Amino acid sequence: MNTNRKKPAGNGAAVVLPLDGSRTAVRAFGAARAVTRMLGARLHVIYVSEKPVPAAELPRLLHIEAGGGRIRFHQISGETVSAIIRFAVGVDASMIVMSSHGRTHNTRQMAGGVAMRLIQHTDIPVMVIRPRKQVPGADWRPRRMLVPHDGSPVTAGEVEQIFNLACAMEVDIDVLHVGMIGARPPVGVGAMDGPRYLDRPHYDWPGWADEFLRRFAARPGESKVRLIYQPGEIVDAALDYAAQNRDDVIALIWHGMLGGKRAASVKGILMNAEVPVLLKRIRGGT
Amino acid sequence: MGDCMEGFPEAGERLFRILAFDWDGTAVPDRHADARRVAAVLQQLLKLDVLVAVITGTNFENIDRQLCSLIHGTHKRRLYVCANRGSEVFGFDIDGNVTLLFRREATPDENRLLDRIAQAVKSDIESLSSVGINIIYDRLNRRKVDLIPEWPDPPKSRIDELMARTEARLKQGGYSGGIHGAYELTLHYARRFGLKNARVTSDVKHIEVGLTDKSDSIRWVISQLCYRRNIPFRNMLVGGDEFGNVAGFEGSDSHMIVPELGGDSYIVSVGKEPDGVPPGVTHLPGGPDCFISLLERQVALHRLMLPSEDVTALLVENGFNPLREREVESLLAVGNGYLGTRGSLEEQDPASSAATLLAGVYDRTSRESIEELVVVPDWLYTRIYVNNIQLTAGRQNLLEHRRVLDMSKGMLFREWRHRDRENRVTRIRFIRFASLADPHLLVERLVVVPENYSGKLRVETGLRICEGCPPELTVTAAAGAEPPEDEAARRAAGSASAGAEPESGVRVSATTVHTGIALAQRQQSRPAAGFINMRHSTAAGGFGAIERWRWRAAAGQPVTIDKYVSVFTSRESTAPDREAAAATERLAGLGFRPLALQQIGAWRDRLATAAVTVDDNDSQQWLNFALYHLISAGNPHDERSSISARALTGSIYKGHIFWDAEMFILPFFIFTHPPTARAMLLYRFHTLAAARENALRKGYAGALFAWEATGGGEDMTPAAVVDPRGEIVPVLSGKLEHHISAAVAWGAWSYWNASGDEGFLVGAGAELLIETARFWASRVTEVDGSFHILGVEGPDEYHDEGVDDNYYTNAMARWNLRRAAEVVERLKRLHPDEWQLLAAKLGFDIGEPQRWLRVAGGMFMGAADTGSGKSASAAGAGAAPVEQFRGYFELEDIDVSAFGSHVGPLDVLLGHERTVASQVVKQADVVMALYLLEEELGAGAIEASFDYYEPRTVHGSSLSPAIHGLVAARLGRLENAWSYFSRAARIDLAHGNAAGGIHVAALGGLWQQVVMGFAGVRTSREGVFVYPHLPERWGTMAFTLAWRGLQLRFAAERGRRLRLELAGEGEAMVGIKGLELQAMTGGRSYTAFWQGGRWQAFSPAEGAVTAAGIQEDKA
Repeated sequence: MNTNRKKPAGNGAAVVLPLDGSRTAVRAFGAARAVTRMLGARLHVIYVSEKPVPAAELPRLLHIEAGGGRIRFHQISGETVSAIIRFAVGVDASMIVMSSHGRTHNTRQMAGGVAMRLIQHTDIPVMVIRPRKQVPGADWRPRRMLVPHDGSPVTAGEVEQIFNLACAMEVDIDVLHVGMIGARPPVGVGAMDGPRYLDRPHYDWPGWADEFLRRFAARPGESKVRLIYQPGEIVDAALDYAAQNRDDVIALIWHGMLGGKRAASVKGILMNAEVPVLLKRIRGGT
Repeated sequence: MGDCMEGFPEAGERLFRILAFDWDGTAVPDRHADARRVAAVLQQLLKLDVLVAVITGTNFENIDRQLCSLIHGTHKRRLYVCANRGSEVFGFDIDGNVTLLFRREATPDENRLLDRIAQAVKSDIESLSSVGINIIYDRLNRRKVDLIPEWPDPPKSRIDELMARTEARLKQGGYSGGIHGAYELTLHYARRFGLKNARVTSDVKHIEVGLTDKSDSIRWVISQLCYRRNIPFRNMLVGGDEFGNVAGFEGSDSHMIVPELGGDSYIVSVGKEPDGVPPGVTHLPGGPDCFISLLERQVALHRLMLPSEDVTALLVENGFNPLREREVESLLAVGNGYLGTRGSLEEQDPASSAATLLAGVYDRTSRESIEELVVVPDWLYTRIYVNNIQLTAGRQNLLEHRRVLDMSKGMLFREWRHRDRENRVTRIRFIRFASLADPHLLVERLVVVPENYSGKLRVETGLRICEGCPPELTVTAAAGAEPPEDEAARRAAGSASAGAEPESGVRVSATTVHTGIALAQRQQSRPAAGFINMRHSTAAGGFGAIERWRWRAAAGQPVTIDKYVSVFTSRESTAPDREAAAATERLAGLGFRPLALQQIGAWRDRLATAAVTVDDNDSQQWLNFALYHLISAGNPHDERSSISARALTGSIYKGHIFWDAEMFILPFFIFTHPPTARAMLLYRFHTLAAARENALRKGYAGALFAWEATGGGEDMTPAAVVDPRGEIVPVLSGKLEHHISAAVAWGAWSYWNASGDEGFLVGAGAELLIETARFWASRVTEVDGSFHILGVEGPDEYHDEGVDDNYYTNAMARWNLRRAAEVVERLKRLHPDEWQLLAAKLGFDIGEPQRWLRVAGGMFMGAADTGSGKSASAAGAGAAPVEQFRGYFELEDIDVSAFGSHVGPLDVLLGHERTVASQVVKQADVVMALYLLEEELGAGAIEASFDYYEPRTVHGSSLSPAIHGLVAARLGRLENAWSYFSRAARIDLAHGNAAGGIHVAALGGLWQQVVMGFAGVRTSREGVFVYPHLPERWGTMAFTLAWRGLQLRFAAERGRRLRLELAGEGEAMVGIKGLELQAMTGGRSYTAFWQGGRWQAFSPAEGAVTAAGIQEDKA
């Protein structure tokens, strides 16, 4: 299992919100504040620029009207993505919250350049807010998080961090395992896909579900965890399920490579999800 | 050399952990002898953790050259050489380098004194005679006065001659005192010159005076090996060849008998000992050969207590992976049919699903719910603390972890090395088993060794109540046991360990809430004897009851605690607690080793009739796994319960009993352990009342057995369940899978046919056949003179909404009706009195058999029979496949193979509606009939049907692959059959499917595939046919069938020879399939040869049939 048992919440925990001064980017502010509140953390709003900006000017520059004791503003310099990651690592951030798009707002694209590069280069969970009409406000209280899980030990090793966040946010967890024709079963010691044998489905299904959850989602926290098995394609299955069951967040474990035809599921969900998408890259992914 | 140990049975019974022995004369004839044989045996013993101390008068270099140089490996560090007659001890480090562990350093004054004494003796003798005397100075801490220098190195075997010549030399030379005079003279000078604790000895050739002797060696062994390793004297063997007097002197080995031993250790002499041996020494005349035989026996005994050397008998789990833990626990379960315990860690890891399940002990979570097996208090529960910190199997502190299930002994071994934050390393070893010899008994041994520290250790071990394991029990836990009435018996049964409270133990009593079954568990733990003061206490409460052991240990000091648990319930005892108490007392009195030997013997006996031997390691391990779990599941003593779908290895199926019991598991017991098969069928017999009620409730006559049954036979199939998408769906199998009644009838008839148990037929089997036949006769619907079974579900549960005329169901019903009619005739003819009673009991109508036969004769057997032509067209040219049910051929034909790999079951991926409307088959349905009813179908239909259904079957049930493999093997499609065999064999082993328990029915299917498929066994009323088709990977295969009081031992060589030995008395008809049956006689052997592309008839042969024999013949 994951050895990363850093406490994601409480005093000392940090959430990072990178902004570029655009009104598109700042639409992630509500979600960031909400997450910060739920984690009992401090919110670090950062602005990457080579040109020094007086600290007092930053809220106005970034279009943030309300501050508060748990928000700090920072202007940092350097290559944008590297600077954001360096900062987030420096404050030991539990999560980065950001808008999928910024200044060059092109919604035909899955995400803007900064977001695309950032999610490929950090192991810190990144919550991507697509700047739709409705975005989470500061009073956002997510109730359910959908976590697709392929049953591989690699996913199991990463998903624990997501579960820790969900528990800290007091969000219930829907673990979704998608059965697919043509897909290869997961590999690795401890891997588990859908049940191979259903001698008596009324016993084997609950038994399988219990084992899947024990294996991959044994949570000691308060969050309720349930397992859903859904046949179909991962993108449709996740989006449909999230829509029907009012999941407020979709969390994805992924390998961190977006090039070419890679990460079709991540792309499909990022592009189409009506809710924030929380991405966790497999450590050392790229 | 067996005879030489006649007077010392301990050689083969007692595990000696220290061997301290003299060298020349005991282990080798002399110091120039070839020591390779004894070195090889000692090497094995050292590897087995035995400490070896060679105690010799000679110097280390001689032993090093003769013995130590032949021993290599890290285990050499357990070898010690106590050399120079007690003056030195040498050992070896882990790299094999010599280390001086002890040396007695003589002071200059002592050296001068020794010289003076020797010189005075020499001077006196030479002055009184013409005898020339030599003094040997170059010995550490001693001097040797050589009385016969001209014979430099006399062998011990010529001691008589040596004595005569030495005496003659002295006396003829004028020294009338002889050897004794020289000895007395030496003593005299030692005293006169003031040498304290002088050690004067003689080996006839020499008189030696020194500062040490072998008593110093044995005292070093006592202090450094016995005390420091906490090994009691009774676990030490002291060996020599000169304990008695030699030429009137105390033998040099007699110095090894020191008062500290207190008579507790075992002392043997293999020397000639002409004057006998002192009290407490066992004389085994036979010299070094006898001594080596003794060592070899110890090797065998030590090995017996370890996992087998046959890797195919082992299932090994290295490390600890929380992801896989529940699956591993199922695979490594131990059991005996009465109970089963999962292979969980004793300390109850959070990843664990620890459970001990008792067959037949069911309860409900509420009055309305269905019954399920109860998880009884965990008897494994054990926690180990070092300086009050508990040891756990987390990744950070796990240096080594390994569990080994020995499937030939029914024992689970666990080795664990733990390192804590302060770098303290603790080695822990567990051995556990559920006794096959006495199914109420559970035994576990725990050994704790602090490897690199001294500290406070604590073990808590007890009976832990499972929290959150529904159905909950009403439990009472208590510490301590009432003392036995007989105080003397209590004392006698007590532990010998210092500080322990021998009478203490713990107990848990429980009662199931709704079914009212009382359960009693008793535990006594005992530390093995040793020198460590063990403090004992007990505690009980809502958690259960524990015994607690505390002690202080130094580095390297092991402590062994043996735990004995017995379990009784009100199902088999009117006083379970009292019986448990008595049994535990008896167990603890017997001790671990005898119980372990009993267990090993019980498994050996069972495997003697159950083993299937092949010459491919993978296959052999798979088969051993199947045999192990099948044997672990069966209980010949309980006819009120049967084997559930996951046996007693997991509770996922709630312990419910399905048709799997009769169709997949029972055949194994019919042919390998008939008493267990009989008990399984008597369970069905005892549940006939519930089966009759079930039939009546559904509007039928006779007996319809519950699709899912527990102890009483009522149907426990749930009406509906929540599916994986959260929808409530009805469970129709309980309403529609009526073929279970035919399965019970099939089982009863098959057992009677194979065993010849007429008493069973008369007392139970006939009633089972008659009542199930009555059910079928009432179940059919007559249309235009033919009989149909409408609205059923066959084994293919994808078509679960009620199909008409399922071929398998109709065929089995027809078979059931016909067999019942035959049995009625038999009873009338052979057992008229019993028949009259049974007929009266059943309200039998004389016309019933005719009705059965009419229904059987008119049973609708598919479209092919009606001449619709659909079957033939579906199958293409040639013979037609039978239709699985009416209308099946009209359904959508889906090419299953086109889907390739997929994640999840295909019926779910396709969707229920589409699956039901298609020809996709879940599991062997028609193919099951091809196996069971081969004679009724004919070769063409079998082949055509197999070809039709195989590509449409997705094997969504674990029961399917083996049956397909069986039929493929019979058809001679060996590659195909092998593919199914390897798939079926690994259902639990390879796919992570076993978390909820092992698929014991699939394992029974595997056995059937091998015996009925690859070996081609068929049985009928007339006899046994066989026709081996071995897969390419097997050159040989051997197995045994119990047949009407005989053991038929078959051994096949692919494409060459088939041998058969009939063990026991009597006659049997056995033949090659396709040829005539042949009359054969018990005690005789027969051989058939493969010639002309087929097996030829048997002819008489000589010799026993064993797999080893075949290998030898081939060689």
